[in-house]
Amino acid sequence: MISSGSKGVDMKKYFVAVLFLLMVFSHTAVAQTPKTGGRLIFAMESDVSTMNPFVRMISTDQLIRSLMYETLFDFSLKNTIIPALGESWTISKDGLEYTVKLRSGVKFHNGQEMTAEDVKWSVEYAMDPKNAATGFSLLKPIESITVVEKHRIRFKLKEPTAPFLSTLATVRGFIVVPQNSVPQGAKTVPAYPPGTGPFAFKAWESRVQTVLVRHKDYWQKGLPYLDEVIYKPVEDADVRLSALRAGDVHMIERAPYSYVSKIKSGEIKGIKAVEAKAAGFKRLIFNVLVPPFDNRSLRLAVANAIDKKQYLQGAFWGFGSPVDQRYPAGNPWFVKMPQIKRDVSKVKALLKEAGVGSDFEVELLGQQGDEAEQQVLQQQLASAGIKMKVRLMEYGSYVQKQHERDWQMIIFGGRMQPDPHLLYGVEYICSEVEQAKAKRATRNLAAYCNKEVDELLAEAGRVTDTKKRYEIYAKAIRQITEDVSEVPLGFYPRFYAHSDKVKGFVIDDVGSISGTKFGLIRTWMDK
Amino acid sequence: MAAYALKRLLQLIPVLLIVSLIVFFIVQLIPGDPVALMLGEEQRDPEVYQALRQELGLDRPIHMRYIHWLARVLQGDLGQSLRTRRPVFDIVLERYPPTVYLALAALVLGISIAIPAGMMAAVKQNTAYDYSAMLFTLFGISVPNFWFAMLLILWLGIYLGWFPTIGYAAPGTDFLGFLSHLTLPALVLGTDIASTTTRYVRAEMLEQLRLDYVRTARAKGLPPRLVFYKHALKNSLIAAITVVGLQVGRLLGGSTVVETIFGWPGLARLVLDAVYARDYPVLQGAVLLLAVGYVFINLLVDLLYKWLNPRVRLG
Repeated sequence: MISSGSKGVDMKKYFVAVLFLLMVFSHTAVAQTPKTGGRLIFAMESDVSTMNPFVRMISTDQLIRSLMYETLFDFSLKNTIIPALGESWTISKDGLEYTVKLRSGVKFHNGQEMTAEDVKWSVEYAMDPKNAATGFSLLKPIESITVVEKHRIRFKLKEPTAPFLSTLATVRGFIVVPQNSVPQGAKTVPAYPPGTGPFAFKAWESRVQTVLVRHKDYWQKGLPYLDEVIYKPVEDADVRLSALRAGDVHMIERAPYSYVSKIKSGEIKGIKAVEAKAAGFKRLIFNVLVPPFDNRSLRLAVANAIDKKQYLQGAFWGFGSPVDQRYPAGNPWFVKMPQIKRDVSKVKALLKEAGVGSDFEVELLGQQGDEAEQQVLQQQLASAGIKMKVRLMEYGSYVQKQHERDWQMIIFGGRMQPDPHLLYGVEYICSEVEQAKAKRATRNLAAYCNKEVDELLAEAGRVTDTKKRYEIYAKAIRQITEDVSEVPLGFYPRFYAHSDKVKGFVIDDVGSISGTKFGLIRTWMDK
Repeated sequence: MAAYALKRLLQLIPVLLIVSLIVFFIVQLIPGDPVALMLGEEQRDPEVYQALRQELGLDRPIHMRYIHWLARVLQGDLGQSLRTRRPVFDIVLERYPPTVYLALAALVLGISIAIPAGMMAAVKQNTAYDYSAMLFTLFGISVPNFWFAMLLILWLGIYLGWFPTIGYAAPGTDFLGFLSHLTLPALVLGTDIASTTTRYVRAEMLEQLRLDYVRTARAKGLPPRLVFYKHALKNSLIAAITVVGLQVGRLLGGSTVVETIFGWPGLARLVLDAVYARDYPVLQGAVLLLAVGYVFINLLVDLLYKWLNPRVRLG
């Protein structure tokens, strides 16, 4: 009896709880119904530097453009390729021909309909080196482009290229604009040309603001929700946060780390933080062409002197996660392998093996703004018996020195590419070493070369079977780690912060604010 | 006076030539490659790099570039920004009004605090009034601009919500918005100017008050107001004007911190951005036009000397 009675009470409690939860959820559902209209003011770190959408200057340009322009495919939040301006694709058996069926009825911001001719023109514009387009390198595999019909286009490649579909899915490759809407020859344009994206360009005032308005004929009916997005350049992170707190802006990028926990805990009221978990990446790169780091033992000694967790603690307020490769754990291209950990006795043994004494001194070429990171490394190396001098330089001079290869070590970033070929197949190959030796720009900064890795990477670029590719990459990545041309330090997050009136703002791990399925396209204002 | 002004204007030509020469070569001496900076860290295709270098004319020898640039400047063409490819003249010109508005507002505020405060501090020397005026100047001089700016943002922007913390509105389109955006940066710069100038006015006024002509004026029974305002003040302003003239130069090109904090689209920030981006034409154009502005202000100061003290000989 007692037990059945208590059961009865439990059931009652249960029903009340369910009823309560239902009420809460229904209320939330009502509150979460997106509202159309409104203006979002977004403070970014820098101003627009060019309105030619093919030429990338700084990340701000890329972010602003991602709202106005689209390419054939897109990435979902789970990093899978999804249709955008292209509805579907077929790949010929030899892997050389990619035929894309384009979405019909897509309108540019000027009302003109998008056709295969526009796509062809846009790709060819980016392929011409005279135009200095961002996508030039990515589009190199293309031999020719044919318009099959009004809404069908074919890309013929020089050789099978596994990541080509990814190239068609990133605005870094190319974006689609009407034919002849951008002058040839890396020219600037007085205004952004029309695109197909959810927002259209309205006005730009230097250092004041960039105004985008809703694209009324956008191909995803009912989207975007916002009427206007206004970007304001505000360099300083603390000032951005003050402006957000004062209500002068609704959203900011790169919220200061020092305030993030206060925002998250609700100590700073009315503001929410959104995390892009792997927006940033840091690694310590060795110049393997010259002493002392042409010696692997010394590279390994430095690697063994570093405590990555403490580095993230000191330089990024404890945010981020240590890593030993270019993809974070959880990513499909992450490879499990033993990590190089801080081990002072090993450092000492390696230094001895390399024949250097206690006066061993290394130099880091550091850039202004990264002082905290440099100091942490300096302390860690010092406590392991390696003196590290920092040659601190302003960014422009730093880039110049880096270019001239006048350095032993640098702390550097690195973009996480959707396909590993665009990363490993570009940054760890021997052909780039010639560039480095000639003191020309290179993406293989360490000037790392291992013929075996080279062959593996070339093979992985040709194979289309994902499982097989993964195995080849895994082998290459393990070898790269073994060779210690660099020490991957960690992925660190960047935080967007917004007023709690802003709803529906979802971003991916690298911090893109606009895809066809997420970001500002689905953001709305709760007035 | 007109002949003097004309002579000074003619002197502008060699000054600007020297400025152009120094600016051009010093700017090019700064290590850093504009093309590498433009292309960013990730896309360094040698073909693209070379094409862009050629397109921007950076592959030609430096002296050729200077001659070419100077020839165009003489025709009124300051060239194009390497980064945005917009005409430098337009870029600098659109930054001039916000810079001038902010400088003027700061100046008006600074002077309207400094003259009465400095004068009263001198007249009522060693009183509570004098001490509080000097305390104010000590605060203004010793507190860094950025800190005072953040304090104002926190207090007047966030807690009280009276003024916007960042941004700019053109007076032609939204005058009230313009004034509210102007208030905080003008307060910061105005306080800075007021505190320095107050000390000069006070010191000079004290000096004047000890001179014979003031004693005479007082002895012959002139009301104190007339002695202070008409005689002593006018003479003590000469020193103040020198200081203010120098401050204006600083306000035009040196308000980088304040412009950055308040997101004010001024010239100082433009110059700094151009340095970072190694945007040589913008840097050269902006410094050249700033030099023009500075020379004009100096001329104005010299003409004001003459008005304040007819004994000053011009030329």
